[in-house]
Amino acid sequence: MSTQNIGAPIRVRRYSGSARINHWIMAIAFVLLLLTGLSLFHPALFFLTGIVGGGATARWLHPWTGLVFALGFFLLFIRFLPANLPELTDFKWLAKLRYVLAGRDEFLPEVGKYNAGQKMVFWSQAILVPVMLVTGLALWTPGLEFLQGANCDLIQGYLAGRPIDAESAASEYV
Amino acid sequence: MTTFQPLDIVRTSATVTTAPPAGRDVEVAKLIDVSKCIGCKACQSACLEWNDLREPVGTNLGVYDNPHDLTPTTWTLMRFTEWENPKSGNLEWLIRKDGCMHCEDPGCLKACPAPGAIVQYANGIVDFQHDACIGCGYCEKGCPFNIPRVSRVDNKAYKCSLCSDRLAIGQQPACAKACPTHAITFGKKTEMLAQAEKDIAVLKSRGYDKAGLYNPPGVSGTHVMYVLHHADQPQLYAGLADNPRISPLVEAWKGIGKYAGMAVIGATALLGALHYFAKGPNKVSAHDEEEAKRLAEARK
Repeated sequence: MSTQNIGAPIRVRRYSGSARINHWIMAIAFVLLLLTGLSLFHPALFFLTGIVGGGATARWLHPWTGLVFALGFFLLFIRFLPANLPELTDFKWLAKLRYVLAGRDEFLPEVGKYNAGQKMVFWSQAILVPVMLVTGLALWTPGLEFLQGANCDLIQGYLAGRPIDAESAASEYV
Repeated sequence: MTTFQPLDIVRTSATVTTAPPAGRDVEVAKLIDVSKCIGCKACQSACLEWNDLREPVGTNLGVYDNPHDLTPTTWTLMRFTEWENPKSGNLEWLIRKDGCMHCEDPGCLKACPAPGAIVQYANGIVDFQHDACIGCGYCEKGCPFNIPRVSRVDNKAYKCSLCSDRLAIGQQPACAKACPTHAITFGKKTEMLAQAEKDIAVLKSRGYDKAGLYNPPGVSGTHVMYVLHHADQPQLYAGLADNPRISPLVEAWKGIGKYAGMAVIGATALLGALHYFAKGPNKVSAHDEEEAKRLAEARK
């Protein structure tokens, strides 16, 4: 395949300005989440907290960025949902996955705005972003003590100790 | 409280290197005989005094517990329970001094993501190093006894240090020193285990045939132990855990999860790189441009 002599490129306006802004907000939030999240995930990656200004900054930046990311994805989900509905062509495309990996696009069926691979990324995010949001909220203390009781099941399980009721948690720091 | 030397540390949070094997022949323990406790709260006062803490004035909920719960400035708390013994019909006033149990297998330390923010000394004390704390609150989630509290003032976690600073200069913990009835005793763990046996024998001779030691094996034992007159029902004492252990979620996340997560990330990066080197990026051919032009014009 030659990259020479391909003539004037056809310009297609694939995304509107607002879609691009939405996507850039998510991209920035994603990188921040990745850096701060990984730094707290494994001790060998704790040095990544230095990029955002230390462990304490990473600790507050992560949950707030998570909210931005989740909200951004919610808007993007609504925007791109119609283009990501499954179609018959998606299965034909998936059946020829080896041509996708080989870069032989000429053997692939014509698809709509997104191919089946892109749609699968879209739908896996539709599941994983809410999971990220809920597990993140569960870890969001201090600040969301009132959620602690509700999230005992998720994080603390059957652990011992008194459930902290909202009233005493609120009065604790008066 | 960095009054100990690096060689005195046997465990450090969020650290991939292992500490050198330190001698454990000086393991200490605090023994609390709840049957001797009169609920005077001298231990609570002594804790505030020594550690220079000020608990804000709270509100009265109609119970003796004051404050209502452990806080960033209340590292030990008397918890009062009124219990009607169904066997004897007696009303029993059960008082338990709550606070960090200094687990041999500390859940807070395992859950902590900040290197060196939680350490365990060779003598068994689990101590928070506040300069390394990032205030994430994972220690609260990891603790099987619900002890650490993150301060809203400086966003750092606080709990009983077993007066590690006093120990370093040969003093016993402030609470043990203040206790007027010797309900709190402090010494080598072996000595405290022997003392507990004597206390339990006395309680049994007084008719408490279920008296026993609370040194839960689920966390490999603790360096704060209780002598309970109803050791078969620890939950009677303001919800003391029957069988405390680190949450399996914390164990999985901080154990196999760390390796599995890194393996998945590494494998994905490796596969992507291999594919790139083997096949390279997609290229736009002249034919593609013609097709695109045809499609774009068909749209018009």
